[in-house]
This record gives sequence, C-alpha cells and structure tokens, in this order.
Amino acid sequence: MSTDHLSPESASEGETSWPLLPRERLWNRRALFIVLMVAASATWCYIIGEYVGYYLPLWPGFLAMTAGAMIGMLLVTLSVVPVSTRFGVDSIKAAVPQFGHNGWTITVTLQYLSIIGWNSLLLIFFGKSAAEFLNAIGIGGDSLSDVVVPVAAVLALAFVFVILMRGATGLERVAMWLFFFIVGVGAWMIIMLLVREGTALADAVPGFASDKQLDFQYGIEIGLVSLLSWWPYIGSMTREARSPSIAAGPSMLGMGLPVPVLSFVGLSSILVLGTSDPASWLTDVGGNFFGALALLFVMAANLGTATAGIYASTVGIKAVPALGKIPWNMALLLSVVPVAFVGIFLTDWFFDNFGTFLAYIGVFFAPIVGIQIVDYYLLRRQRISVRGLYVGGPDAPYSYWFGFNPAALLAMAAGVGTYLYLLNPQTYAVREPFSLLGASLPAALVAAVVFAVLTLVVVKPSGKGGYVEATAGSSKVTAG
Amino acid sequence: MGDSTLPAELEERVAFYEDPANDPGGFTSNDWTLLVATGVLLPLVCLVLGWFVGWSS
Repeated sequence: MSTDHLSPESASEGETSWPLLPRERLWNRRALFIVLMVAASATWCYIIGEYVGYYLPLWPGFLAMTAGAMIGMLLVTLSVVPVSTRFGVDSIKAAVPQFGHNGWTITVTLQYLSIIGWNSLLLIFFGKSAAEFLNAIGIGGDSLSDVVVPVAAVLALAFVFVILMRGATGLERVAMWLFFFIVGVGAWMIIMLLVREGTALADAVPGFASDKQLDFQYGIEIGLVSLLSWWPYIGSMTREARSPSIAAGPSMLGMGLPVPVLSFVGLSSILVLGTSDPASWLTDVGGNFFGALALLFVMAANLGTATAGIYASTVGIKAVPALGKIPWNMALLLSVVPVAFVGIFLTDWFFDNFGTFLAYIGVFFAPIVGIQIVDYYLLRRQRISVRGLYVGGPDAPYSYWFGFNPAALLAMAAGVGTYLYLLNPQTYAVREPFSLLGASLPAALVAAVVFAVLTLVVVKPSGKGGYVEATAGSSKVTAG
Repeated sequence: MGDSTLPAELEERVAFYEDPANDPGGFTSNDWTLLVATGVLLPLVCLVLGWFVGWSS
C-alpha cells in the first residue's frame, strides 16, 4: 500500500502515539545504538554503582551488577521492542494488548513518575557538577552552590526543551554530538580510578557487607531493577527503527551494557573515596584541568539522557486521550515542569531516598514485563492487531471490560505483592527466597503465571482480548 | 483512542500495517542468538566469575 500521499506534516504527527510509517523511521542500527547509549549513559550510573558498593567489593559487585543489568535489559527488550519496531509505536501503545484501551492510566502514570524521578536525579547531578566545574576554573565557591545548582537545572531544562521542539530529530542530533564525549571521558574515569586507586580498590570492604549470598543478590537485583526502568524509555526510541532486527543489538549492547560499565565508576569511588558523585572527587583525583574536563562530560552526559527521558515522557503524555491533541510543545512543557519542581525544590529529599525510588521501579515494571512477555510470545504467538491498538467500542479487541483487562490488573497486583513480600523497598529488608532468586524475577514470573491462567480461564473464553482472532489468523491481525 | 472510527490519516497508517507485506515480523534467528548470548549466557558467566573468582575477601 502506498502512503506517499500522506501529508508532509506527518513528521510532526509522528511525535504522537500514531504508528510511524517506514519513511519516517530512518534510524539504522548505528544511529539507534548511539541514541540508546547516550540515553543510558548518565550520572545515575554512578549512584547505581554506589548502592552496589554498599554490599559488594569491586569485582563481585561489577559482575553481579552486569549480570542483573543484562537480564533486566533482556526482559525489557523482549517485552517492548518487537511491537514498537513492527508498528512504529512507543512503550505505552505496545502495552495496550495486555492492559486494554484504558490501561494507559496505569502505564502512562508509571512512565511519568519513573521519568520524573530519573530526570530529577540527573538535574541534581547536573547542578552539582556545574557548581563544582565553576569552582575548578576559579569562579564562585561553596557559598554559590546553593544558587548555581537550581539555576543550572533550569538552564539545562530550557536547553532540553529547545532541543526537543524538533522532536526525535533533535534527540538524534544531540546524541551524535555527545557520543564521543561520553565514551572518551567515561573510559578515562575508569582507567584513572583503576590506576590511581587500584591497590585501595583491591582491599576495600563494603560498608554494609554481611552475608555473601545475600549481598551478591543485592548486587544482581540493583542491576536488574535499574535496567527495568528502561521500559518507559525504550519504545519511544526503538519505534524509529524499521524492524526488531535493527533494534535487538542496539538495545542489548547500546542501552544495556553501558550501565554496568559506567556504574563501575560509582562502585569504585564509593569503595575507595566514600562518595559516588564524580562532582565531589573528580578535581581531587584528576587535578583541576582534567577534573573540569570530566565534569563537562558529566554535565553533557546528563543532558543527553535528560533529553531522551523528556522525549519519551512527552510521547507517553500524547497517548492520554485528553492530551492527544494538545500541541507538542505544550506536552513537552507538561514533562518538563514536574522535573524542574523536584530537581529544584526537593533536591535533598529525593537524593536521600534514591534507593527507595530504585526499588519501587522493580515493584511495578517487573510485573509489567512478565505480563507482556507471556502474552506476546505464548498467548498471542506474536500476533497483534494494530487496528486494535487504536479503535475502541465494545467489539474492539482490546476493549476488554470498560477498557481494562482484569487479568492484567490482578496479575499486576500479584506481582507487586510478590515483590513487596520479598524485598521492602524502604528498608531493603528481605524475606526468603530473596537471597536465591531476588525480587524482580519472581515478581515477573508470578505476574506472568497469574496473567496466563486468568486469560485462559476467563478472558479468552469470554471472547475478549482478540485472542480468538489471533488464533484464527484474521486478516486484521498481522503475524510476526 | 476509544473511538471505533479513526481519523483519516491514522486510518491510513493502520491500514498500511494491516497489510502483512508491510509487517517486518519478529526477531530473526540471528537476533535470538544475540539476545540469548547477551541476556542469558553473559549474565551466567558474570555470575559464575563473580561468585567463584571475583571474591577476594
């Protein structure tokens, strides 16, 4: 079918939740790899490494974190990438077959809260780095940091806003510029820490180390939940690629692997320097010149990631029916304002409660990926009605009951309950079998099993969810 | 969302992907190899190394 006659304004419409057409999806493997890597590589890696460093020495910590991260990335890739790349839709639309037409109330809310959280953290780091950078080049002092941090945060958000007024094109261009900066200075920081602090690192003992198996599992879990938080981000970027094949490698190696690699910096520095924040040690360890240069990297990396996050959040907002027709820049503003509020007014509170935020990521996104994977691969056999993603009414395949799929809601509840039973997100107190299985994987598994059973026993026999069409291979269903 | 009638441009976009010829399909066998290597085997190697080799204390 030819789509050449569609209006030239299609590019701007492409910023909505409508399917992007192949001619609008121009990112090849390399472009997607760079965008995803820039999106993943930010200062949050240092704080992720810091939390692992509370429990594990350097190499066990790095390896446990890497294992968890790659498992988490696999789950996110399997759950979002096929649908987003086949039909050019984002993570929120990709979840409609499981959660129903009104399921966006769950997924958009989680996406919004998650991205506000992560980007607030980036802004705080950005502000701190800017203040330290000014110190390093002889401007300002500690007394000015109270002013510099919020001002830098506002300027960063203004920069992101201007970049994203161009939509995904702006995101791609800024990513290309930041790529070499991030790779080069990130490698320099790792080498510098290993060379200058190698002996101390080998002897460093984690502050909260207790039982070997439990500590090891904390490392895996922290890596895993960190990567589960890519769920809301990834669809808005992989939809720019034309097929799952283009996105598989960039997703695993571009978005997954850089997180544990960069987290090595935070893990090392918390073990030997007592802080993971590069802004507070880069000039001490690297000297004023190299320290200032590295601080520029930290700021640049955060800008890249904040840009990707705000973009994903804005695309998600446009999936909300009441907000679908507001101008792109207005939706962009709705993404930016809460981040600015938290980043400027709740700085210390949010920074001090980052571990809780991280654990809550796992609470909600682990069940979501479990539900999506079992539904897409086992129950639907990779058959999705693209029309069903958009049409409503009682006969629409994904209308379920009042637009919600009770199987997904109950499976979410079961998954969340499982996670909370195994790991308390506020105290990090655990119940067995946490030390053997962690919390995210059992939560995903329980949610998947509950979803599958309820679907087979209740939903499918009721003729809801488009499962009959999918099995029969209706012409309105495309096969993967 | 929620309407049984779609706006004209959205209708054309949906119709485009309803044509099986325009569906790129799922992961290929090469993709699955990559996914298993990086999402299953690499974590297993890391876990074994981390547990048995990496611990110095």
